[in-house]
Amino acid sequence: MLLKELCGASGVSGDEWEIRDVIASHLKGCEVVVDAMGNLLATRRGGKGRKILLAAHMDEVGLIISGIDDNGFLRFKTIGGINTDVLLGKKVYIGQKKVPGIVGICAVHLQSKTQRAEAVEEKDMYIDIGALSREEAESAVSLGDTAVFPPHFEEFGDNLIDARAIDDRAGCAVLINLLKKQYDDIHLCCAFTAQEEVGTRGAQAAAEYFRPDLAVVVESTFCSDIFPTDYTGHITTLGKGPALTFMDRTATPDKALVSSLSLTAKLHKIPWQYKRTAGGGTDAGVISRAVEGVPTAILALPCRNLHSPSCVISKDDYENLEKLLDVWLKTAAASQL
Amino acid sequence: MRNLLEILTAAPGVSGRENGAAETFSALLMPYTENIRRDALGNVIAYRHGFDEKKKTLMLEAHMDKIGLMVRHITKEGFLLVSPIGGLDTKILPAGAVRLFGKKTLHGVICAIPPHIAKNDKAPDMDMLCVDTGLSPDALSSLVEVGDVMEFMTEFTPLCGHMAAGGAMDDRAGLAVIIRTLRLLENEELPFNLALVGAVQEEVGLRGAGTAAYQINPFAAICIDVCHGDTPDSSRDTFPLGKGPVITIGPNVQRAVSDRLFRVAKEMDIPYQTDVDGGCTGTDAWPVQVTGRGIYTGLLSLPLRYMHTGYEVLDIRDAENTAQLLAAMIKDLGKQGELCF
Repeated sequence: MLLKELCGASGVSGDEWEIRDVIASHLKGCEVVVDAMGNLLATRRGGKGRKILLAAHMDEVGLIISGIDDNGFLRFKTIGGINTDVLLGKKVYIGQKKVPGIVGICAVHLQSKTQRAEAVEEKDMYIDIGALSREEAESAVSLGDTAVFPPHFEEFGDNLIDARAIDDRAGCAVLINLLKKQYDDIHLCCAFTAQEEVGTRGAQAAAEYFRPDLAVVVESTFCSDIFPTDYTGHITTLGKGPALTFMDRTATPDKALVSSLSLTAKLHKIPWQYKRTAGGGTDAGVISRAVEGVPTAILALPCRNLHSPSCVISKDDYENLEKLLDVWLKTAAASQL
Repeated sequence: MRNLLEILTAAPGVSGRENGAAETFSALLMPYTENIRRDALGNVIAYRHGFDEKKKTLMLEAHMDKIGLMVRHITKEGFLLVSPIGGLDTKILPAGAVRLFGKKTLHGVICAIPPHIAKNDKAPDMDMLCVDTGLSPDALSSLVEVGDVMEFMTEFTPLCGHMAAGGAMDDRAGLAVIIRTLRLLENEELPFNLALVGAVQEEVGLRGAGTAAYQINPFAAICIDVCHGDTPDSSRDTFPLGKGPVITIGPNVQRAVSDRLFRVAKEMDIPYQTDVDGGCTGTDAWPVQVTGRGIYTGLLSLPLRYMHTGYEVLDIRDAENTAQLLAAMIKDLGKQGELCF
């Protein structure tokens, strides 16, 4: 399954080489360029008409090894917004050799009452790869190696998926599938962007390369529809379809473009929802302000436990995300211009 | 030893629901024992071949149960609220995958705390955590009940050198040591009986071992458990990994027993470490010692990092050396002709 394959490849921001190769392997028959930021820029050969850019980021949040101590323990920094709540006691794979390590924590029995009630700060966390000395650790890993959560992929419950790096391999999978299709009235351009998680750093170069007429960022987004949150705190609700952003911290999507997408959904009876918050940020911020300005919208997959080892999505939402974009590209996209 | 650890740590069995672990342990005991049974609490009790009721008995014990979570409430939206089984640090829970044992085995995810609820400098509140099975309330009602248990979904993972990570090293490593010891003693004739115990419910109050000991009525017992391994964030009461099993001195271990363990370790050149414990060792040795008319009790512990988390880490050589020490101790006792201290 394509999504499983993409979620299984490593690619922390700045170190996207493995996922880039995997994505590239699915783009036979496309014109593909890799730029200085590491963005993978793809379009079908012979495309003509006005340019529609779809952007999904390849990179995932992860850790980077920042120190090795005399006893063989590793220190790290987070890349991207990982809430350190989800790190303790978890396994990670480090570097190209995917050396396994455990994010350790003092046993609960040894913690004082205050320590039990308090969170651990990132600077006090460490990874144990089982090395008993600095030398042993240095023969297995290096400073600057990036680390990822283990690549599990579990289908469970009512058509749900539990995997790591759903954000935004799900978007990448959708783009790969759309690139296989034929759209006669528009020129489809796809950017698999780099370094989104550390500040949407790759997307501008991608927009600069394509100089599109319109753009839709295909993302994965917050879903907090779990206990004890009531509907007002959900942000998005799992199973209710892909989510359209009306405003976030870096972009206010083009209203006409957003309406075009929501009307397409209504017309074709595809479930959809609004992302019910003005928080967060995506590649849309820099894309919309790139070149001479690009009307941009954001369409996202609701995802529970974002930026954690176990991201949970609805397969229905994922399929509807692709379906909505496919139908829109065929029907409404050309008339937007 | 690595193989034994891999098999034993994979078996399900939280405190009070130890069947999976009991089956695995019993299967591994079979080649060396006659008469394996489960008692009223679920303890596995077995005797090595050649049992003679006229002889005294030495009991070897480790606990089968591991920590986990129990369903305490199912919300109307279908989320599971949970209670801890054993001593758990809530900091390790968010975004962990679990195996839920309902009418069938289900996959679950302990939810990460939504950012608008998270108190960033506080540990998660157990009451605010929930488990997501991805099932609708209707589907759940036929598959899951309050009281169903779940375990962390983690796997045996070799690390650098001789180190390994996995769930339930506490105390499946102890069970592994027992099996390995039996193997090392395979052709040894002993002038006393050997009873093997896989105890239940240690993690929730050292509840099973005393009952097993009462039924066996051994002259002496040696318990195998784990102790804390050294990590950058813990300084007191920890032991380095790879330097051998830890022998405990203190009121919970009769001097004659600990003295003998030290002597045998030195004579046989087996690496060992020393732990001094002024009172309750927090292990099954505590209730075992005062069972019946009193039992000569010893305690061997394996240094273990990250105790009571999904990935506990030990040095496999420590497990092997614990078995070597145990086997050597038993042979040494055997030389006397009768079990005594």
